[in-house]
Amino acid sequence: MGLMDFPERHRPIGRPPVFGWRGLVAYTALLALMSAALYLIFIFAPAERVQGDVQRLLYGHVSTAWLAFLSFGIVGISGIIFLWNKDTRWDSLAVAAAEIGVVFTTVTLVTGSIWGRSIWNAWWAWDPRLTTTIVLWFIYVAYLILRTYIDDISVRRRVAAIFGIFGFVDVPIVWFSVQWWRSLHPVQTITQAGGGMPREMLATLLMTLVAFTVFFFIVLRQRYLLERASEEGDDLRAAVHRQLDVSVAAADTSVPEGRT
Amino acid sequence: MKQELVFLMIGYGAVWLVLFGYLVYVTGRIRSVRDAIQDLRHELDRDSPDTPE
Repeated sequence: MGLMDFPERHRPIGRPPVFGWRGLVAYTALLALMSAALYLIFIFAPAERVQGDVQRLLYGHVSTAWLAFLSFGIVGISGIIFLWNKDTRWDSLAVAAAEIGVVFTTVTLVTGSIWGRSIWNAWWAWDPRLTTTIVLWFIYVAYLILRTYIDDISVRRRVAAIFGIFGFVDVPIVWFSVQWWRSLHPVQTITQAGGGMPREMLATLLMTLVAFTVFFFIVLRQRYLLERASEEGDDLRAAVHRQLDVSVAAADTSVPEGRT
Repeated sequence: MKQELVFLMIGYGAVWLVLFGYLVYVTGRIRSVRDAIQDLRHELDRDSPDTPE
């Protein structure tokens, strides 16, 4: 089942689907993967020689950062497809991904700040990667706020799609910031030829990334369904208002002449 | 406990608190929106002119 095969707009959403058998499978897999990731993070992976145990924050920090990039990529791609085919499901997917991206970026910033306090003795530094990441966070918070300020729904969708596409420009800037400018962050240790990470650490990072990715798709599906349901609710509310107007007009015309 | 372990625990505590808190929030919102949709449907059916007296 593809991501866009979710219930049609005017279909009752029924109970949240994660509680069906598919939900049971998804949550069981998530529990197993998270448990495995926890084991690898806290027991299997060796402590880093210089930083000690606090370096174990890397696994959650890097995984959430990558998934935030994925979210914003989904926002951009959904925006392009929406502008092309005007299918509102892509707009709903973009909103869902943007909100989740903001949540994951928040987690990245918080874990980075805690890690920084331990090894740099500072909660925050105007390091290129930190600065470009906080800019990324603000871009997508602005995207979400912008959507609430435009009343015309078709204009809102178009503007949001364009904003989401251009907002993604900051993602490669965040990624390459450690190469373009002097940074407290190390350059990418995984993508470098030969790698700068021991095999146990790399395995732990990959396992954590898989666990968080499963979590990401579960929450993306839920948030997408919420967006579709909210739109259905708005349509129904408008229909109720229209029906009320018709009833009032009918009552006015049915008043017999001579009576006020 | 070593200070770095405290930071480690706070860090992962924040990760799971925010992420699972968000999942619970979204699931709860789906429930409340679903209930609102059902109420609106009932309201539409009740007020519909096609509804038999």
